[in-house]
Amino acid sequence: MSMTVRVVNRMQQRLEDFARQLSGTWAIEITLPARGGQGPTNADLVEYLKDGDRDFLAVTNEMRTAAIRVFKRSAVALIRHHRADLTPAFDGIGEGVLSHIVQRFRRSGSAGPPDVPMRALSTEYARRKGHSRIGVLSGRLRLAFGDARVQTRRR
Amino acid sequence: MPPPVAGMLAGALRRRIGMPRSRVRVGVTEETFGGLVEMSLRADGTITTTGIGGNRRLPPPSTPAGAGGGIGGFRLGAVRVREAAVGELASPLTRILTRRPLRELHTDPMEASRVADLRGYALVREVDFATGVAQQHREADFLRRILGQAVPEAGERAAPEMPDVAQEAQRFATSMRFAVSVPGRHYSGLANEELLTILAGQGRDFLADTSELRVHVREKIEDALGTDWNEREARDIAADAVREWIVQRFERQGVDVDLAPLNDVYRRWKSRSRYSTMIGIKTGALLGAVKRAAVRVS
Repeated sequence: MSMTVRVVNRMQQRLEDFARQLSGTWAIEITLPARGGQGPTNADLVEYLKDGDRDFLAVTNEMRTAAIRVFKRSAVALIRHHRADLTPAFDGIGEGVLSHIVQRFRRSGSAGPPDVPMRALSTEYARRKGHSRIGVLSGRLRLAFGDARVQTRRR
Repeated sequence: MPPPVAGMLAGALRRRIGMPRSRVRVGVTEETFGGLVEMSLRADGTITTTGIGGNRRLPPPSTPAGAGGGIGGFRLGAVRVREAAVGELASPLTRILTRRPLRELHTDPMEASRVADLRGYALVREVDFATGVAQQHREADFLRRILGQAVPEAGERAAPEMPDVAQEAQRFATSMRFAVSVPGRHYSGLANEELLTILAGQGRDFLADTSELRVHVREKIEDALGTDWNEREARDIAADAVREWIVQRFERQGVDVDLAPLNDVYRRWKSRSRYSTMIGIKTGALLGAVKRAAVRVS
């Protein structure tokens, strides 16, 4: 058995052991930067969109997959660096979720992001915006998510 | 071969911004998100990067359906947002802006699990948020300055070479060229490709080459290839991924490109005539042709 295969097997075993600790429900809290000035806050805008059946925070299989993908990468990186404590990899869950939400804003079309179908904008509003992408106007809300901080907690 | 210095860099940044060690990682860009990279400083002073990447075959595929990402028992509860209190996120954040291409790298505790891909950056602009002072450095100088302050951490050793699909997929997706060939003639009399060119001229560029498209290609390759890199297979997967993405632009009306809206008169006419009122779709003939398009990736 080659050195590489042995290392991969060892990593696999350790990652499998570690992955078992993932069982349970994880709650994610995202802290958005303050928008400044008057008017609705970033959090208000997200809630407003949600109330209009345009929930950019919706939990979908794609979001779960994104979270797990980052978790795995974090864990693999820690294992490769011979770190005894792998708990920082759990932060990867929140990071994956946050990144997925940013991607939703980036990929949002007139029917919303690929994994969350949304009600189309009214024709009048789309004309005023100049396009019909949902959740995208100045781009500030997406940038706010890009600058956000995320906390991952087991519930 | 000098030891990997990603940890040293992270350590230096931790000390630099005064954060507890368990909370700090190095850098991120949205575009490079997901590509874990370790950096090495060679004897001649050049900095090289090596992908680390996740192992797609881990853990074993004995996962209940819907558990997400192939790990059993994992559930994602509610995702909530809140507004930061004044100053909460402002310090001690150093934002590093880079040129070629324009991307942002953060050195911030929130960036857990995200590691910077620094390849290709010539200049680094560092903004100290506390003072607002911006400085521009050559990337290599900037890294050397940080690394110069770093002390290797205990237990950090060179990792063995491993097959790294993530790194290869990233390289492939950013450097690939693709050509989409939509054969056949539209019922309007135009060739399908002519029609797509006309649409592009109207601000409806369904075949646009965007970073989102390339991210999609990278993810598809990573997901499909597992741990074994195969260039030929990657090309086939990339071709399918490009076609799939373009089809999504029709079906989801944009996704990553802005489509100029139809004018009112035409939209009403389409609606009255019982055609689809979606942009680029009337009878669906063009979309059908796009779904059969040949995508050549090199």
